[in-house]
Amino acid sequence: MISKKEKPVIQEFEREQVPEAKTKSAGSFWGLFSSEHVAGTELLIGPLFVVHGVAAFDVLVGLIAGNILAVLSWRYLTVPIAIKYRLTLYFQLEKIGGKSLVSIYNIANGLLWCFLAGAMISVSASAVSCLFDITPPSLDAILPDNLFMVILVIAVGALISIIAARGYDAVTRFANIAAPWMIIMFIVLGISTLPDLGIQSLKDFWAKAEAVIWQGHNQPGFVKFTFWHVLFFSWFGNMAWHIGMGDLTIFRYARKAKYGFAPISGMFLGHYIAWICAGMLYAVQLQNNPANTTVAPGPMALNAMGVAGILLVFISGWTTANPIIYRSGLAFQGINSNWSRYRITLIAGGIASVIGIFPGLSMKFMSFAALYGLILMPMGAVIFVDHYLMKRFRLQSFYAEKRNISFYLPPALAWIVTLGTCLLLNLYYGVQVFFLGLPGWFIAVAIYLLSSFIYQRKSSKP
Amino acid sequence: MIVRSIVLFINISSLVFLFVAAVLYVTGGFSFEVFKICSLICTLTWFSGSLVARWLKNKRNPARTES
Repeated sequence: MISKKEKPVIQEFEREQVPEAKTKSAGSFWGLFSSEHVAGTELLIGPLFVVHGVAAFDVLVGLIAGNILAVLSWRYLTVPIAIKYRLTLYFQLEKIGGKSLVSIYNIANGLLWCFLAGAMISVSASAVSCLFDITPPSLDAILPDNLFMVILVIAVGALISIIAARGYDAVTRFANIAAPWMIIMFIVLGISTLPDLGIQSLKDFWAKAEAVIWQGHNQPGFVKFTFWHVLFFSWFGNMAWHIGMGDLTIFRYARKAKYGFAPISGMFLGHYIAWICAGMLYAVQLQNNPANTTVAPGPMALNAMGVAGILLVFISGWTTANPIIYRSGLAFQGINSNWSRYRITLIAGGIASVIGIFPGLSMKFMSFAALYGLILMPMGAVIFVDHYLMKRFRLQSFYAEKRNISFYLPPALAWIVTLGTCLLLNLYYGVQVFFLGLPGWFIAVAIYLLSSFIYQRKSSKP
Repeated sequence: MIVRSIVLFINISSLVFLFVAAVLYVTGGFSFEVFKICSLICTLTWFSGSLVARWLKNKRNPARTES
């Protein structure tokens, strides 16, 4: 028997290649993606498609196309690089851009994770709010307008943060137990709305989908979504993980490249079935009271399934907020390894809780999700160029490591100039945030390549 | 081992029954109140069953629990 003091050290291979013997089978990737992408935020995104006035065909077909593109991005962009080097994103980025660049990336990543966790805390808090008869915030609310709701979000956030700070092993185990139940619950939630929507058979579904669920009328203050919005949102909703290379850290354990198709499970269970079911839930709410346009997952699930619905909302928000706060703490700790992980995780959780009190984050979650991917994407483009194009242009890859420098300018330039250009495209040409990812990626590739060419030629001159 | 197999069987059955309860509710076999109670019972069965199955597994092989 092994006592707790003799607990074996878990080797994470943070600064070395994952050895071939430690690679994992396909099953673990299929399971991981199905549990990671059926989260509390699906209960925000599904209704927000309805709020944005998407039409039935656009959402049902657009999601299939976007999810296929997302899976292909994982398979053909992220996985080949992951299994070639078998390094974490951070270590690979450090080899390319130096330690200082990774520190800046860590701050950006940590803060964005706080926003994501804030949204999940607010989802969980909306479940608890059902017990106290608190009026949910309106659809156009940006600032908190109810003191009790603020206290509730802070309390739920504090609870989640303390658990995350104490190490999230137990919650991870609980999340693994909850994952199959959550998938079934999302499906059951969708099925339970059928009588209210007047759907008696499969034949009725299409007619009701067009006339009742996704009517194509956007709410005031929300951009009208088309097929292309849906396609690009579902493709780029996880841009930080595939094109942005965040999942290098996970796929470095993949034995074969074909494991890169594993995200199919997460995309089609979470980003298709769960979004559609959540959208149907919101349609029932609108049908019962057209004036009640707020997106509050707790009350919606309570009406559809009673207490089990509340448990679904609370658990799905909690089990996903928890690892995100933990990761956020680790990202901040990456700046200075002497900082206490316990305290830094509590601080990250505190920031997330404060962010979570603003209902504007939940109501505009789709724009935030698109922005989140966009901000981290240029570093993925840098890793792509370093792997595929540097040698072809007779440039050095892993430049910071080879020259032993802590800050290599070209990746930072690619990051800043890409985001600046995207901001200009948004402000002056009206290109919506959902469509900026694709041109942004090509801009980042071009700038990194060009600036590396100039920088390395200049440095190699005697 | 047999106890754990029985617990796992009950556990998986609870998810199957959750789905069946939803279908019965939609087809008129269950009222909304019965559906709500069934979904709660299935949820509680799933979590308690999973935790018991895990506990039985750990009891049988304590070394693996620490890794």
